[in-house]
Amino acid sequence: MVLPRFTLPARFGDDLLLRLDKAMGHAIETIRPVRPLEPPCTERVFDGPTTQWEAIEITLRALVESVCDQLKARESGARRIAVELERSDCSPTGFTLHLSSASRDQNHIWTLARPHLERAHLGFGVESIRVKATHLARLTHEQQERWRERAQAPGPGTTLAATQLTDTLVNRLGAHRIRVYEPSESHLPERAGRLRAARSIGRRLDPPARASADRPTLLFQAPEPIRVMALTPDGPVMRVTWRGENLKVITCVGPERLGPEWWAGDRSGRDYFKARDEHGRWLWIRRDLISNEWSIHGVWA
Amino acid sequence: MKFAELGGTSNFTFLTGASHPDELVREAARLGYVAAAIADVNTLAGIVRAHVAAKEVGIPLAVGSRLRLSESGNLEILVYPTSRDAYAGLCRLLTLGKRRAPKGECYLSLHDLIEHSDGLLGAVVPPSVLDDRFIETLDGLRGAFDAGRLSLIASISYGPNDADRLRQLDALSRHASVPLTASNDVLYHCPQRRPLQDVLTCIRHSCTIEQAGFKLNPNAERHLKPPGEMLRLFAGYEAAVSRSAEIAQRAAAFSLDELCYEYPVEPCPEGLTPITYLRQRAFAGAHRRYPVGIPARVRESLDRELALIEELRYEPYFLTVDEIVGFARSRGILCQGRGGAANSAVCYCLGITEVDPSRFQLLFERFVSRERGEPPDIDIDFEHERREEVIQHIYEKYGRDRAALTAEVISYRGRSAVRDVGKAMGLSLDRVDTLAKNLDQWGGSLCEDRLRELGMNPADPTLRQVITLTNQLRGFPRHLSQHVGGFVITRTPLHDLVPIENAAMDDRTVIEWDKDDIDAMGMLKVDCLGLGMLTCIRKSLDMLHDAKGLDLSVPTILSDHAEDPFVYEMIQHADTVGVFQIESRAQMSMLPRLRPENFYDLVIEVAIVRPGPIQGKMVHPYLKRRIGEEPVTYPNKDIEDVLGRTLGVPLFQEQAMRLAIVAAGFTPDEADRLRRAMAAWKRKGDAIFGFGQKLISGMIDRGYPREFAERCFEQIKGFSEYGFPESHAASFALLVYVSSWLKHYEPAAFAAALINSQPMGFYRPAQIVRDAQEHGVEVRPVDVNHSAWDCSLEDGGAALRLGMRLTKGLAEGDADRITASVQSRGAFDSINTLWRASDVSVRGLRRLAEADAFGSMGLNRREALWAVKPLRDEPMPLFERSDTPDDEGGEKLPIAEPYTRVVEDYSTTGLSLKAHPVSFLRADLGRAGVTPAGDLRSEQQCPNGRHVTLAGVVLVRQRPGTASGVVFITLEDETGIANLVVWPKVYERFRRIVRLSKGIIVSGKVEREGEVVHVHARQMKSLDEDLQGLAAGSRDFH
Repeated sequence: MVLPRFTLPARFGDDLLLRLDKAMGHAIETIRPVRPLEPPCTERVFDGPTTQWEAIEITLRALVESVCDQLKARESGARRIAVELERSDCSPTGFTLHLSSASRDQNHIWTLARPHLERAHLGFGVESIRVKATHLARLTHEQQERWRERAQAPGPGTTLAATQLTDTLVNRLGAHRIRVYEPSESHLPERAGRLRAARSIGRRLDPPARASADRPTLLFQAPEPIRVMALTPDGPVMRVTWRGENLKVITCVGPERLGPEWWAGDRSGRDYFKARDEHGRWLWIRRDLISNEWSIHGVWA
Repeated sequence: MKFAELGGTSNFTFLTGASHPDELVREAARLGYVAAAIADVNTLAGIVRAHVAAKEVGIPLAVGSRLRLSESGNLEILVYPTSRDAYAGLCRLLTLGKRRAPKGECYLSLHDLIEHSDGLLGAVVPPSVLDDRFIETLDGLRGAFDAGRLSLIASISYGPNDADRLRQLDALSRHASVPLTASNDVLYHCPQRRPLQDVLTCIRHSCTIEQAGFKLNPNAERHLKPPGEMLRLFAGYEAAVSRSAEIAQRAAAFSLDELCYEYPVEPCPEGLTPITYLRQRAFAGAHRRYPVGIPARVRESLDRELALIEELRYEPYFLTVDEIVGFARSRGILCQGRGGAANSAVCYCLGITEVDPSRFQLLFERFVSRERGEPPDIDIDFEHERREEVIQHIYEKYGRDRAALTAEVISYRGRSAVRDVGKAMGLSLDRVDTLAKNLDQWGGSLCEDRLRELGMNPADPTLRQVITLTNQLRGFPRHLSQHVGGFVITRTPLHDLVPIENAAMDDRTVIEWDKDDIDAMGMLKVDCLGLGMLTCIRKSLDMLHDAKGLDLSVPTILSDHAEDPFVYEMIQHADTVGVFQIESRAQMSMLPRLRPENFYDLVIEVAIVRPGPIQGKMVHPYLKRRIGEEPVTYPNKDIEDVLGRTLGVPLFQEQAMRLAIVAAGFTPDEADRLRRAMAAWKRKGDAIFGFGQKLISGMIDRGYPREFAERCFEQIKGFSEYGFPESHAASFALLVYVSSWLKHYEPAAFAAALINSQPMGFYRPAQIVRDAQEHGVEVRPVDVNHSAWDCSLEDGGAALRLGMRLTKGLAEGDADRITASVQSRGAFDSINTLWRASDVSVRGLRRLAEADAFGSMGLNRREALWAVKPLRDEPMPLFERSDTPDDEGGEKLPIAEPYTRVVEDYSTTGLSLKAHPVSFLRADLGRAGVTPAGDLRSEQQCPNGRHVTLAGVVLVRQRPGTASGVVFITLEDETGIANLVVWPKVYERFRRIVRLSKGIIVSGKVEREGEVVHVHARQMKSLDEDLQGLAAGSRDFH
């Protein structure tokens, strides 16, 4: 099937003819290469292998500064910084810094890097140091004060300090050892918070705005069984025998009734009383609705 | 200990309350409350149901609403009217809030409330924080509501500090001089409903139960509690508890029974009262209907009916309906009354219905009964495409404040319930889907075996929870929608009776109550329904008038061309594609057995192929007697009078009623109650057995053999909801005859009108066209130079030209532009010139090219698409090259495969005049021993009992509820159609194929009964791979 040329542009666009011509060699094809953007990287080669720690330290610090400048130029922050030390007559050594949120704060990065450097084995001498920032993320800068620039806090509800503390701990002890308590919405007190790995810290750390249910400062892992003297199961509680002590209850507020989370298979609800004993302590007394067992679930400071 | 719960939220506060209104009422009665009470948010939708339940259990009912304002911090206040006027005020208030808001919402301000507060008792629901704004608002309300009418709600929710809260509320109450009233802020009638209430919350917020967190209530305390328990909880504030009782009692002084409904009064000529005017019109109509003289029987009926109408004061209703029908006729809109109304001689004479009392035995009590205390229901079918004109006329004439559509409560069915519950419980989407699909209209349950089959573990606790909750959720209202055509028209403003709100459609207003509520309240309703066949008939008649100059109308066909034996012959051979009511597969199997010969046979045919008679086992006895296999006997003359015309077998509702009257001594009103018990039997069960005893003993008393009496009762039970009234069947039979006559004598016009009136009927355009061709009609394809939007007749009615409306995606405007151009300039020979002359959109041209509509220009599909491709809608002067030659295509393009062409036809117009898809497989099928479907017609080639293999495209899938799991499939190939019967065992083996395949090869056994041929399937295979590209086009019924 041969189609006359003039029928094509109106139907398929002008491009088609150009492409066909290029394919057949009737038109010149130019190629514009795309250059990939290299991650920020700096390297310093020493004149000879050195084991002088101060030299290495100063050099590394300068390299960190240089990389941070490059990051600033790109308006980015890094979440991983890889440091490589080439050693003479040895395989290279190095370490990687993990940051929980993108940063180009050279002081912070140096604080994280220093302990690693201190532990590094210099071998017969370090010949060169290379610092590379990978895992970039966009980090625009705001001018907070006239002459000093401060990077943004990572996210709403967090502070820079908290993030940096987490980073320090994570990088020193290992990510799997650090966990953060995140609030989760549940009426049941023992489910009101969940442990999460500390990696992504850019989320809320403060508790959700819920109309204050007064919860004890210390919640027991397992409620401690007690004996109770009360007028009716609905309270108020008059006396409590706890940890061997027989206590008189001065004030008792409640009951606050929490139904079971039936979808999770819970069967029983519970009633809670906030009671003040003769010593002035506030106790959180719990009664299981089905088994009718009394216990103390927590105390206030 | 006196108490009543004022804050009862039912499931008519959608997706919030977890109990039905009647459940709340019954529980209140059981707990010994002084009164039951219902207050849903910004609505009065559920109160009629509560009212009916309250009367049943004998507890007073306080009717109210929980107003949620859109300002003042979204203040909530329970309001209860104490008198008829106060109730009207509440309705007006709610109407005001809803008319100014979009559908489903209500905007009310404090000022609105205060303006309408006369006679209302108010109980303010305090927010969780008693801030200054609230105190201010409370003071303001106190000013407007005088002493004794305002209260402050106190609830004990087992929160962190109830005692403190009560103290605060008490202090506020003293400060503002608003007494405290105790309430439990109820969301469900018993604590076991708490899980469901939680799930409703999740559905409302579109989250799963795990994510819902604090949106859920912390405990299960918001249920109706015994008075003793309320006193215990409110120890120290006992006055609040007794105040609730007091308020409820004051509110219960007003009952919905006080609502007196008044029909609108039509203007009558000077000096005449409505009843005399009605009488005049009825007799005038009678003279018109019987020009030779009104038969004595009819005259008697008229007198009797008019007397009853006058006694019950229904005459304005008849005049209203008469006026509506008159309007329709004046606009040339075909209409016809149906249902019980066809039992009325007055309706016939007025022209509302078409069933002639001189030819039929009408039972007026079926329509209007003194004892029922319910107004009659007149349903009228209009041409479905012009129904909107009638609806707008009603709005115009009565105004939006006196006419509105009734609501329809859209409730959760199995599928929707399991979907929402499954999602809320966090089941994965595909599991939810599987469960839902299994509960579709094809039946299915979630019993253990079925779950295992679906690959789920029935012991899984979450799954069990889902099933329990789904069963509870079924039947819960989801939202209100407008009813299709049910109008309520009143004399006094409607919004004094019931709140009116905006419907989703523009220009429509809806009341909050549905059909059942209207019936319970004794309000009159007119149902304006749309019937596709009326549109089709009128279009046929118009076309015949234009193309052939014929002057036909429904009355002339029924009188001048009545009882044509050729028409009946056509019907007897089940040659009824497109004919009203008798075109379905089930009907077509019955027609050759029943062999209708006259009009009354058509009436029987319409009524007999329905679940009622089938379940009541009346079909076979009737057929046997008809062929003469069984003797027709009657115990006595009375029975013969009643059952004579149906050969001794009761087939109609009226016959059951008459039997009860004549043979068992029921009064007509008792007989009517029997009929209603029959209808409600499936749902409620008991009433009918009481009647059964009465019937059987009554008949035995009158000397009938017990066995006969019991058999009659069995047959009557089978009617349930599905038996037709004879008058209704007769109304329909008239249309059956007219459409049959048109199909027989004017097949081209009839087929054209059928297609032009789509969607309607049982068959798609493809089958209608095929059938027309088989009857010798030449069908011409869609073509821009000849077709209009609608199908039309050519060559003086000999040929049918398909219309551009069949083209998928084409706008009617574009089609009209083309037609106009062709009309003024004659046929076009190139797309370009057509385009420039008619200004049709390029999109439209492309669609037409895809539909192969440029044949008259000598362009096939590909050539046409090639020619359309360069065209652009927006002029681009910069790109117009004056140097390029005007290209018209004409290039040699590759020829499309014939199969491809047919498939493309199907996907753009739904049919192909070139060939049938299966014809391309015929060679291969033939080699595999497949018989063409057309061969089934010959007894020689396919005798009873022979094994055959067939193949075809699936046209229809059906799984009727009465057939105990049997599936019927209709296949079509290029030679004809084949009806398959798939028994449950076979269905289980080939489930997927039966349910989803587009084409099937099936082998099975032939079963012949005269002309009726079925193939009982044994083995099935899908043909879908070979029919690649064919769009699925089957119709699936249950």
